[in-house]
Amino acid sequence: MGFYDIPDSLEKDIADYEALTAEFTDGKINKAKMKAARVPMGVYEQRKDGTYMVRARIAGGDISPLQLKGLVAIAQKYTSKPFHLTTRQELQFHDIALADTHKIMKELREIGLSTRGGGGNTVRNITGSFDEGIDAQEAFSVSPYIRALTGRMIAEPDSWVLPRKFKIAFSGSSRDTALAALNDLGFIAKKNEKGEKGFMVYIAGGMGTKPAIGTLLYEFAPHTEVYNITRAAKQLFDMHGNRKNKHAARLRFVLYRLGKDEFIKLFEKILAEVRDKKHPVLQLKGLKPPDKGYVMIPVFLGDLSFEIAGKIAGIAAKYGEETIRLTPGQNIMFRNLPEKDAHIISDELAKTGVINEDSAIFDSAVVCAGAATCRLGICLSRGLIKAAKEKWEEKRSMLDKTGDVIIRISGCPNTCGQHMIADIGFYGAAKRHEGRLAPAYYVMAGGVLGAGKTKFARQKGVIFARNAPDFLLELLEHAQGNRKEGESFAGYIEREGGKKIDQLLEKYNAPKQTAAVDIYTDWHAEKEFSLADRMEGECSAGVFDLIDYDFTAAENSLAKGDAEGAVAAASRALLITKGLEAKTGEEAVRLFNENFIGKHMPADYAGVAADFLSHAAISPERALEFLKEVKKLYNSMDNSLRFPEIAAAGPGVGAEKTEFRDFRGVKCPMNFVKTKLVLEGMKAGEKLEILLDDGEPIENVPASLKNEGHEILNMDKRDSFWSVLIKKGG
Amino acid sequence: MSLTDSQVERYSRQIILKDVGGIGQEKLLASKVLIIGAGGLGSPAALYLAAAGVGTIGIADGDNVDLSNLQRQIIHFTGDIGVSKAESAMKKMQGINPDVKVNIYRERICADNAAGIIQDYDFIIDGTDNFPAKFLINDACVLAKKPFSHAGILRFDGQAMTYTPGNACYRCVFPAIPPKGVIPTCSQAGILGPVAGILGTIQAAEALKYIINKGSLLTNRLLIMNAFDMEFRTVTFKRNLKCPVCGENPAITELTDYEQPACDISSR
Ligand code: SF4
Ligand SMILES: [Zn+2]
Repeated sequence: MGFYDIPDSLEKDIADYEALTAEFTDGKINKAKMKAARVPMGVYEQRKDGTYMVRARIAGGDISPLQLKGLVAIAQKYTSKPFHLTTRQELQFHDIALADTHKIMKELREIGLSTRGGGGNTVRNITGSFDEGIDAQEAFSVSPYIRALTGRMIAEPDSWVLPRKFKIAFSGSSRDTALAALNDLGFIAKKNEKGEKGFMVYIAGGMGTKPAIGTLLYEFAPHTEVYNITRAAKQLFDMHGNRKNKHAARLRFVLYRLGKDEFIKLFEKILAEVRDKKHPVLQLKGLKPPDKGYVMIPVFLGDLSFEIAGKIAGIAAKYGEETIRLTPGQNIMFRNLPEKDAHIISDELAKTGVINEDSAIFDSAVVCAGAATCRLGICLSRGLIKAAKEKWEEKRSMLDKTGDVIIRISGCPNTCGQHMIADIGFYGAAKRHEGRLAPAYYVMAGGVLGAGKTKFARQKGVIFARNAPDFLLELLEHAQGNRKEGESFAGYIEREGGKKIDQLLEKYNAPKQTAAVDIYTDWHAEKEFSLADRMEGECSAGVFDLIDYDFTAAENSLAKGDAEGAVAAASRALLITKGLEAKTGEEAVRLFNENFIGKHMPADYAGVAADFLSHAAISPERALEFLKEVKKLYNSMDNSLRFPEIAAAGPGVGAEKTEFRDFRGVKCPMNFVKTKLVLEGMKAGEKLEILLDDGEPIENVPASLKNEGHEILNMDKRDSFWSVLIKKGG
Repeated sequence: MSLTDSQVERYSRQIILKDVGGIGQEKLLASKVLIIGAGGLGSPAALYLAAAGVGTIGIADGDNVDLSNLQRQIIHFTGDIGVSKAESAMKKMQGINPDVKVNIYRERICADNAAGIIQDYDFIIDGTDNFPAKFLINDACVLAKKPFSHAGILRFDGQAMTYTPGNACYRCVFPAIPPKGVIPTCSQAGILGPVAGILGTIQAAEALKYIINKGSLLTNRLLIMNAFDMEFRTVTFKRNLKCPVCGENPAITELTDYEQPACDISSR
């Protein structure tokens, strides 16, 4: 009954998953193993332990009214939390008990939906332009491609074991409303001079920690090549992606590493091999051109209540199968309607309380989950938009001229809220204020979308979270009054809005203003802001930002001749990696001394700490050396925010270089053979860290290495795998 | 490390060996072994050496494959009858392992060509089945200071030894060719196929060990086996200072073809 084909293997996958959850509940397998199994099945643990989120794959965001009805029926059995719509056009169930997750999967399967690939290092939900059939520039409908490709991808086992997630999008026109240029692989529909169908193809784009607009791979690729190109891109990624560092694992990092020319050469080579295999072209199921009538239903924060969902399903059923589309803006588009009926339906939706025109700018804002549920989050992004909406409801200022403006908010520097392409965007950070951390947002403005002209929003400055709603309202009011007829929002920002933002930032960052609000408490937060309770070892782009912030502060202090200030800032920088937080410089130095010096950093530096704490003079040279050493330590940090111990290397010796190899996914005995070959190239006493899979590999390889006379210094269980530290024998 | 991924995989089971490793494997890939005789002994030796990744393998045989060879000369197949043995062996070795470069010599080894052929190789396997050839190979290797593996087979019996310069040679044990008729040839007495296989395989093992420079070779020892009662024993002996070729005053200083079917290395 779905729009994409469900592979037969899904039934077994669900059964396997069910068996694992049972074993996990019985304590037979550990958390890490469970996590490795559930994430690729689209099940994530929420910030609150023991509650889970289940994410269903909705190719191109299309669901039928019947499916939506089915979704409501399923959800009501297992949770009272509303659905959540994602920016990848997926639909999530929240607050689910682990024991219920497999039941949801089974019931979803019956209505033609799968959760496989909802998360993890997999081919994720394939997204498409929401404005299909409406966009005047559209070359042709892309949804048949999305559905056929989805069916193909989810039937291929290698879609589930990639180095990192792999995102694909299709846009119907060069307006690129599906953000094809910002996906790992993006297709933009186009017709050539002869009127033949094809795609402009972008590769290796993405948001996330190092955002990038994709590289144009083909000006025009025949539409029959969609599968081959996808297959080749996936294969290239599989073979060349960085499996070690998950922060540099997406396809674009392969491109950075190889350089554009090499990358394209490699792609062409793989594509030629793929073509040789003569895979069948995608079987497209024809669609009749959609009717142009539509109604956009803003869903505030993407939270869709069962009641509203039920109403939408009911009304939609009258207009046909192909009428409901989840949009990347986390809203619902009611589409494919007779044009003349659109406003009648719109009125009907307004009457039944499904739509509220006035607050549309807030309702249609794109906002990530934020720190409330996301473990990487710094700020409560949803709290910010709620606060802004509440403030607006008090004032009820006219904002009708900003109806097209899209606000996008991420709770941390990761870009789940797509702040990089916002008209006005925010991303969460922590900022020090009088030595303490306060929730804050970087302000972004002026993003542009469209094939060949996608432009990231510019970072304008930083503002404490507490002042952000007022700032936002004041900016919108200014835009309402000053934006010219027909002017794009980016145009307005360029012309006048940018200056306004600078002014407003100055106003809201003035000491008078910061003193007037409780800047240490985020919007809709239960307690004062702190990063100390975050999971130790959890790696978030926000952490790196904070560390860099402290290093910059240390350098600035040095430049001013303030050696003590530099030592304090340098000491503070790495505390966060161990979940520590210092309120004063003294506390920072003390904590750093206790937790780092002698452990990760040579004991010699204890003298600097002691002098600082006894207020003895510290020369700028010593402070600089101290800072350099801390930075060196930072550079040796691994992905899990851990530092090499110095004890093993003997006293007074700094962290030395350790070779590293990732042998996950390499079977016995090849993992041992490869380890052995690496060791042969090293000198006695040198160290090698390898990653091994759980099970047979970890049972065999370390023992074999010992047999060969090497020493195993450490074995450490990570998610579903192990890190083994080896010292080469003589 | 110059091994490719597929090489690492292909040779993984011997790289795993503590005494081989990547270093040993690279030595093998860089090594050159000559097999004289593509018969009962040469067949298994050639197959194992090719499989192990010996980089260059020479194979010398002047005969063509005959139907009566197939019972024990396992490198040749029924379809090869009438084809040069050296060529037939080359095809199989390359089929097993494209890493291997094969040089073929479609000629019988004799006093005129022996020194020229062996000079390019690090180790020589004597897979011949007649005394004149065996003595010629011994003398050629001793004079050229080349290590080689000797093996002889008959009925259910086999023997093997390895010569390396400075250690005892074949003539130290057997100073001269036995008179014709004293020891029957295989064609007269018969041979059990696996005996050829066992001995040829021992020769391959000796060659590999020599190349990676590990383990103890059959130097100054003669391995004697009997498949009928399935017994193995080794007899140790010493270098004979009066040996006509490796002794202190050698009588043999240049190669000549010996009597008893003259210059015949065909391996039946
Ligand atoms: S942007 Fe940050 S806070 Fe928001 S969902 Fe993504 S990782 Fe979490
Ligand atoms: Zn001798």
